[in-house]
Amino acid sequence: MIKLINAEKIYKKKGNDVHALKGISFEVEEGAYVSIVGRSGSGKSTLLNLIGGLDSLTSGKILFNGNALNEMKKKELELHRRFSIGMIFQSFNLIPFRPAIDNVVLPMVFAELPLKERKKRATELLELVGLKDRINHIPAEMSGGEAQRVAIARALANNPKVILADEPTGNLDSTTSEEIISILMNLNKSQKITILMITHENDIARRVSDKIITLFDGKVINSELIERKGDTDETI
Amino acid sequence: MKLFDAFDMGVYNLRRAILRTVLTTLGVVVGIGTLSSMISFGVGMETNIVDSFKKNDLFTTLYITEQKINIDDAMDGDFEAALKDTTKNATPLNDSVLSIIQKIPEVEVAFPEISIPVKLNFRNSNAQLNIIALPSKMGEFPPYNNITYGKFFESDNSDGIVLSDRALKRMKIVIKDEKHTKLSEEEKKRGFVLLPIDSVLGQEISVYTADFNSNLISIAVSSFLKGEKDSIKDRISENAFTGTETKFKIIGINISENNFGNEPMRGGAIISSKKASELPRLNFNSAFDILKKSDNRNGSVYESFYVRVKTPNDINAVKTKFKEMNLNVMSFLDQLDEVRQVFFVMDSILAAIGIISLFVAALGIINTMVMSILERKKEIGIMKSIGGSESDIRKIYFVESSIIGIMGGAFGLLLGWVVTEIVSLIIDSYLSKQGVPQTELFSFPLWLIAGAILFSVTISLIAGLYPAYRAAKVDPVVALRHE
Repeated sequence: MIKLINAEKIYKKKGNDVHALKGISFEVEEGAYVSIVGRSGSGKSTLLNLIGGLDSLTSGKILFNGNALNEMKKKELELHRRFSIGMIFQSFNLIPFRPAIDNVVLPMVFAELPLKERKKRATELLELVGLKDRINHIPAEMSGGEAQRVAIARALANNPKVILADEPTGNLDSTTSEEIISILMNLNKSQKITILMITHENDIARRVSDKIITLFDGKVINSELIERKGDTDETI
Repeated sequence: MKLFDAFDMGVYNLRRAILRTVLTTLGVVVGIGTLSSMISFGVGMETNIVDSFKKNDLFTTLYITEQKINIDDAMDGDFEAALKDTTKNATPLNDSVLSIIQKIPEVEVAFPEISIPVKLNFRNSNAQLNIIALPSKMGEFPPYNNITYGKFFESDNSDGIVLSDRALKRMKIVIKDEKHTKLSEEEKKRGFVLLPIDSVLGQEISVYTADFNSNLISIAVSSFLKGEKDSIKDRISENAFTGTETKFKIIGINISENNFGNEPMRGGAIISSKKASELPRLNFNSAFDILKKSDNRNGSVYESFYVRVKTPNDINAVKTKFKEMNLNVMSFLDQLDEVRQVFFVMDSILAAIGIISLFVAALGIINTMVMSILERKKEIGIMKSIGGSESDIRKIYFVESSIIGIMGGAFGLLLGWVVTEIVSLIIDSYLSKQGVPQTELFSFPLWLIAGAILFSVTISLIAGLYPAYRAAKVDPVVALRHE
């Protein structure tokens, strides 16, 4: 589903170019749960931004369902972000002054879904992540875990094929982290959504992933297939 | 993103920073207020003049003179130079030429212009003014077909006189009506009297005209022949002129609606042409007339002809005919074009002042929007990361600018209107103390209202161009890293 071929990213800075990715190649199968681990500055977030179409490669290729992202026009990349992927961030990145439902509705606004349909779907998604009673609360009135659940609901708004999660548990305590991971696992299992997750927590990565890719200094130093141990029966 | 959603988000964003939004909009309000009040003044003045032209039926009016007079020289008092262009072989203005003019099919009515300096006496009050003489046919056309009280002459033999309120005021008389139920303090001080219409209409008025003392002519001739120059000087300075009283009946009174309004353009009183020809009078009004008469021209009897054509469309055709007849013709339509040019310049200057303040307001919008981009950089990044396109972001910013523009335009117009109403009130109150009728100095036609709002939105959209472009170009990767 996602294939990186010798992907390279160089940030041009005055007199000091930063080589963020140095010829990365790997493949992600449809419906897989892939964790990307590595130290800070190893290029994990850059990799996710490139797959998400937020950034562009310096050289190499990223194929999404066979289509090269680096050959896509601006409009096609916008549609890729809108319909093909959902993004989750460590700091949630919710619109702070808007209630949970509005945050979830926002991607559907860009997708120009009819008003009634948006509200209905947003409510269903918030119910799915266990926030039925927090629909009209703004992010500041929520805990970190709740805010991240809103972010997950938002990522699911336009039925994406892939969720890109950039350290989704990075700002959460262990119990809340477990809840979030559990939601992601169930989405992966029940809805066959492909998940690419950056994490610093090796044990979580080993428990939930089909594959762990380790980055170091912009290179893949290890790509390990994992037999899942921690499939949860929890329903979301 | 649908426009409705962009509007919803725009309103939400503006409400979020309500104080800043209000202050920015206030800048536009002041700009549009200044612009609209300035233009409304220009429009108001032009409307007054054009309406006055229409009411006085001047778009069908032509004036014929024998030949061109250099007005600039005349105004400077150099009458010789003023008449220099007068050609010796110009067509004379006499009855036979008038008869030819009257037979032109497009001509409704044509008559010689006669203006007589007189002294009016009514209820022991005097006024010196020029009476104009008109044929009864003029009673069919504006403004004479719609005089305020009474009626115009029905026949050329009428001994009636139509007075303007200005003529009455010169005799310190004010007609009591809805607008004038009592005298102003100023009028009281100056000894005016307030009279009901019945006390004036139908009453007799004395008209005094001046003429040479004919007895003096024989004395002057005999003294001249005898070489007694001093004797001529002494005698003529004593009783050179005689006054003749003629009684007229006041059959009509015309009250002007405002300073520009419904009244004959010249003279404060009108009598019939036939009656005027019977009045004993001097055949000159001024030194200029004497000079012209001494110029030994080719037999002109009249100074000018008034010609009314059937429709304004006939003006040009008739003008061409007159030029072919070697006559000098002047139409108010030409003058109106000149007036319009003057107003165009005046409106442009006034609009420029308004536009400067609107330009300052536009800078305010740019500043507000750019500040808002800096504040909402992360929000823009989030929107892009979840599928918002550059055009979606631009749309949101454009909607915000146009909302500021619409609000600024609407409230700016309101401000402009309130300001002009206050100014009108002050001016009217001053003018009414002076006994001058009220005048609508400002005008807000529909095109000005729509134009001001459209202009405000356009300026706001232009001001929003750069911020919208900049917002759309926000790099989501950088924005999301920005905490």
